[in-house]
Amino acid sequence: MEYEVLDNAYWEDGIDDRSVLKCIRMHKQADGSKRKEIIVFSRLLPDRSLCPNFKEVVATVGTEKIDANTNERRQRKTMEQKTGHVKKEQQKKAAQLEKLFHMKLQAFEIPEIRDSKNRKLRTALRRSENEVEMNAYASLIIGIEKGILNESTD
Amino acid sequence: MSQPTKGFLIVASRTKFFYYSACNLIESIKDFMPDAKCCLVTEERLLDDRGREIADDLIFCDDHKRAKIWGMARSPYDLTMYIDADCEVEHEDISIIFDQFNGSDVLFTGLPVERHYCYAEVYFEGARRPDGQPAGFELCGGVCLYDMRNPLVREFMHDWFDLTVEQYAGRWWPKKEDGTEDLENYPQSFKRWDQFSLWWLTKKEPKYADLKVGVLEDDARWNYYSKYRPHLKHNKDPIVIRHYSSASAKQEVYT
Repeated sequence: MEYEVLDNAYWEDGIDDRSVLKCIRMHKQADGSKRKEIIVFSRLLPDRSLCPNFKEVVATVGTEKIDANTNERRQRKTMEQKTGHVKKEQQKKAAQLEKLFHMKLQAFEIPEIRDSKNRKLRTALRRSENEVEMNAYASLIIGIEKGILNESTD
Repeated sequence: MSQPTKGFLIVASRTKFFYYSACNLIESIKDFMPDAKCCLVTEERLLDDRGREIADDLIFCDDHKRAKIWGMARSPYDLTMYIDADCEVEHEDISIIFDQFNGSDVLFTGLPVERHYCYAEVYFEGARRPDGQPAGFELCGGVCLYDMRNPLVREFMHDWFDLTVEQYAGRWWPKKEDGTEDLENYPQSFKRWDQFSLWWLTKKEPKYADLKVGVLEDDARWNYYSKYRPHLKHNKDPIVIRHYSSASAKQEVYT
């Protein structure tokens, strides 16, 4: 079967060991199309002899190029991991903000809060940056409206 | 010459979520601009004492999905800042919004490439540039600053509503030469989207060729979607209007 080894092969176990190699072989099909095969070769076969496929890829791509691919891939993966982490954190924060917004809307449905004339506290509730702060201001407004707490309205 | 009247227009129809959001939005405007004039366009069945108290002007609408545009066309203010109900004002610069016209008649926020991740569909065949580059929607209707003293702006708002009604009802769609609907250039998925009628009027309708449609300066701060990724720094100056557009949350509590 005719195939071509792509030059993006890399050491799966890193450049210190160089004993496991991952590569892509593109097989030419009878109809002219190509079939992609992703394949892993260990340097040694179970009988401890050198794997001919491994040897072929190293000879074709070159140890230096495989080292470079391995380093580049590692850097790329680290970056992707970081970016993915940032993205996940931001999605989480956006969801928290949405949730807080909806909780504030619900708080303003509570009659004591809805009807309160205490503009200072209503504004403070609206600008709350987290659930705890929001609950604190909601409690204050309800306490004042119910006469449990004493504070003049503005 | 008398000074133009200035005010905010907020539309809340169909669900309590939008009504409560609208009340919250008006109060958040007045947190920073106590003297701001706010017009609430809502359905009579949704109105309560809170809305009556905070709104300086009240207009009743029906429950049409695009009551928003109907309301925009009826603004009682010369210079109007329309804001989607599910927004909140969080910065004092809201007080300088009416200084942002910069020679335009109507201003929106933009849909630049770096923010496309936030929108479902932007590019479509019918908008492709003559040089073959992909193109599509460029304006986001979440907020809109417009000058109702200009008769062309008034007509534009009315035409936008009328065209959207026809579009939603399935009575209007761009046609191919053979008279059938052109769904290759203008996808089916746009049929229930007022963004498309806005695009059509601003790009294809000769009547509005002279209408100066612009994008607000540092526009992201005037309509900052809660889904935006802060590290991409879409805004230069602090966020003024934050847009809570999560559809799932809207369905969750209120109907």
